[in-house]
Amino acid sequence: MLLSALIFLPLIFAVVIAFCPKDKIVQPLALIFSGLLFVLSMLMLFNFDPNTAAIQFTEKADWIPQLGIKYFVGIDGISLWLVILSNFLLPLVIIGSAKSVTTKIRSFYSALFILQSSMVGSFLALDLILFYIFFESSLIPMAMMIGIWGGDKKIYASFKFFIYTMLGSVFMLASIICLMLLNKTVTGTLSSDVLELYKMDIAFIDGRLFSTQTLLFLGFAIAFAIKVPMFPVHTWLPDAHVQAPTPGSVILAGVMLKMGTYGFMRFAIPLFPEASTHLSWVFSFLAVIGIIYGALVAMVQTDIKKLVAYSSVSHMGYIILGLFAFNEIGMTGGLYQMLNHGLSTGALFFLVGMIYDRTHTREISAYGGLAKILPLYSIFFLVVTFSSIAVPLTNGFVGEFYILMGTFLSNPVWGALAVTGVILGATYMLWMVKKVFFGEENLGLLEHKLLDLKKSEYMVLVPIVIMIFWMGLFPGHFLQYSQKSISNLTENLTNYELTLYNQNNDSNELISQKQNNF
Amino acid sequence: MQPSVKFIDFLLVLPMITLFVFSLLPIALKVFVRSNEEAKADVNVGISVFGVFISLILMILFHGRVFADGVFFAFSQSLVFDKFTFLSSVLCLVLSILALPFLLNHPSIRKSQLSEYVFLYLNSLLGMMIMLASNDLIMTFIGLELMSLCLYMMITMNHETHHSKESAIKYFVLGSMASAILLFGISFIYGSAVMISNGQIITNYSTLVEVAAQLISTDRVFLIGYALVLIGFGFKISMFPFHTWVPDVYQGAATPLTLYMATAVKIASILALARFLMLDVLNDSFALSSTLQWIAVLTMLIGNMGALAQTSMKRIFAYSSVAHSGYILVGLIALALEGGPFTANIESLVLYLLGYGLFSVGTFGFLSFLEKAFDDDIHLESLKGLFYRSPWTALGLTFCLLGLAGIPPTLGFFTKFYIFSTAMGEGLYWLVTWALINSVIGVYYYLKPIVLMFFYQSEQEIYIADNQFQKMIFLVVGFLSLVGGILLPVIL
Repeated sequence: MLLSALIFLPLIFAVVIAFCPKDKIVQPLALIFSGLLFVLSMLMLFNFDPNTAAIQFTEKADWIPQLGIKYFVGIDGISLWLVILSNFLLPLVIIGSAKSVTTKIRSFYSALFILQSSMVGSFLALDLILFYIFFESSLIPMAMMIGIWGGDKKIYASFKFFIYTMLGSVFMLASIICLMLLNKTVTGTLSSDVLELYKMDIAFIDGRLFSTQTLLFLGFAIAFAIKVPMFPVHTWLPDAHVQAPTPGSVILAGVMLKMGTYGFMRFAIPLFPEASTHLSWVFSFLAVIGIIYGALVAMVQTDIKKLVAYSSVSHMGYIILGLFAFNEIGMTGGLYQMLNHGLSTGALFFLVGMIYDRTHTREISAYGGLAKILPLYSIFFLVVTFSSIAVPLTNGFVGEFYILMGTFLSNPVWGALAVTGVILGATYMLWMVKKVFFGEENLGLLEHKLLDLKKSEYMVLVPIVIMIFWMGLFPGHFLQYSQKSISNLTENLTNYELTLYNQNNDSNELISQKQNNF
Repeated sequence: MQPSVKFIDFLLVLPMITLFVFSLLPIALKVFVRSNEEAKADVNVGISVFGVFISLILMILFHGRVFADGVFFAFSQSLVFDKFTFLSSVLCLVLSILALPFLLNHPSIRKSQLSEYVFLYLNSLLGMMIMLASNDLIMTFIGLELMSLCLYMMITMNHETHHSKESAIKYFVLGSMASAILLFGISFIYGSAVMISNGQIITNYSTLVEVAAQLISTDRVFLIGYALVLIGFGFKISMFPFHTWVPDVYQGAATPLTLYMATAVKIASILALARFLMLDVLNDSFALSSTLQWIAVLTMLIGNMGALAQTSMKRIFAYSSVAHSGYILVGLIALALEGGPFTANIESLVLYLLGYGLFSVGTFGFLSFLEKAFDDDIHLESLKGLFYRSPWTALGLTFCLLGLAGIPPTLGFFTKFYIFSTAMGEGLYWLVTWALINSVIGVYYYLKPIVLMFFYQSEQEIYIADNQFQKMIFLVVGFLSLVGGILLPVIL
């Protein structure tokens, strides 16, 4: 019931908020609801057994048996942190949007909760069609957010976002249907239960593009690559990010992009192990291009938000690189980096939004010497920047270190190329920080009466900064939950199977105690 | 063959008789009860809805319960009542019940003529039922003609706009042409079937199906006849390249009639074609099956591309209906490839048509609301900011559009998924992939109205239906689109 509550309570909240009689109480109400969801997710974390790779808290029921669709949700070490991340960011987003969203408040918070429901649903779904439904239904509220509360070119950005992602996912749908029919020829029943599909051997001929498994893999990969987004199909991201309102950008960068990388980890790689290892060079190559290209493009941006958006392209490249290293270290790094990116880029978007609310400009050239005017703001910005460029002691360092180590183990060439991205990343971020916060004060800035951080803004930033250091100093606290699942994935790649958690069987394994990874 | 008529035959066609009797009532009322015609408008529509409802009940009682298992023939095997007849008739009757109330209060439909409208409406419905139950190509033709003739007259009765004449003439001329081609094709099929059966004329499907597979590979005449019948139907279901009348006629006709044409009429023609395709010849004729597949490919593309360029809402929906014919053709081909008299694939087709019909009732019904305020076509621009003035209407239309686009979690996604997965099961991998890509193109023009309703502000007044009944139908359809997926296990 816990997982269903996490998925469907937001929907109920959305309806409640939509019919809320007074605009004034909408935001506090939403905050209370999101707090409740966060408490629920913590409850889930405390009851989670980290010593098994099995699926926990499962709920399984037939939905449409004629089409082989089940309602099947469950959680394991891979999805655990992503669910918590999205429940962690939600209250912060609600606090943060009190300032930036002033019109059509009820619709906004309704859309936010619907989005939350579909995102959590897609992390928890273990039935391919159920996953597809959640994956796709997240598009509508996000497009609404961009389109209604966005910037000047919001319509264009919202259309582009919607059509781009939709185009990717129909290929996935075609693959899913094929996969279900293939499974039907083997087992005789139509089913999109992913645990059953893992067991299937799909014909694969090495080196042939048109072997069944490669084609099906590509169908999934296109959908996820667009969502991530990877290098040649990333062009929707800058538009969407720049036009979206601050809360929209935070959710988009923080959680929605992870649906792509999570999809690779949960579906594309384990379902098609031969095809994905065979094509891993393509994805590593594109990831490396994404890392370097994203960084180079970020360097020439004049708009802070666009710079952060392109830095996302670069950072997401690391995650893909880590996943396609196919070893435990790389995968762990990839998963960890998903969380890091969610925190640091989310925080960067928050910070950009805060300064935009004060000055109504995002041009780098309009700023200068901000550290003198807004010292506390500048401290937070610097800390988050450090996390983003992976300075040791922050969470970003752990993730990138794991990824690069994993990549060097599997293919040193990609590793060597990816390392340049670390330097480039530091270059553009620090260059931007230097221009905005140091140097001469820009006289134009003094026209606005700039006030330093308010209480509500502390409430957004302090939890994130605490998490940044916590995750940087004690990664073991977090990774112990995922370690079993990831090693199960990397060790049994070709015959990957997930079992359902059974309290009695697994309690014997408690002897093998958790090991600190760092 | 000796003609045989038994008592049970009349019992079987009781739903049709009911329809006919009820169609006479409004006319009788007009003749015998002298009062203001306008005052009787509600009564006329009420009677007809009631009539269709009674017919639906009888249909469900007789064919869903009493005759549920088994196949019944009536009137010397010219009519057949099996599960397919039952499902398709119920579908058309339900959609007609939803479509009928929209005749009320529409500016291009004169209240004084409403009794004639209703008479023609129910008789075209009767034609549909005959067509759907036909076990004989001649009966199919008679049903089709009854349906079409009533429709020609109804479209011509609209005097209001200058488009209406053009649309009526176009529909009549092209429709008659198509019927002629259909009849020509039927004569070819009979001619070639006579050849191999020692001069005995094989007229019904159940005997034709035994020789069809053999004829298609040996007899050119049969192949030509089959193709001609396909062309005749192709006009009715608006498949490429016989789709060009659709936007013009849909635009010119009064919107409540467009609603009827796009839903019940089209769906009935598709299902009659499905019955014809069950003759199971596609497996034996590579030429026919590959041609049909290419036609499906082009129908989808032309429909979607056409809709992209339009700004008139009615034309957008007309082209979208063409695109949907393409998706439906994919399902029809799957059905024909599976073969057999009643196949599992028919379920996916009927479900898809149900979804398509419901959403079309929503979209065209919405247009008929709006037309009360605007004399001319509804332009896309006039939707601006609708959500902030009439949120429920906007939400209803949004869910119908999302359903047509097939975006989860609406019902449209499940029906698309079902029809495409059965098509893939028949090995139509590339066709399905192409259909899926096309549905993404479709998303663009289905999103446009949504974007205008939600993302813009406008001060312009929009007059929304004063008829609560119509509004209720519209909202129910929108709601069904949203939650249909969850209810699907109940429907199936």
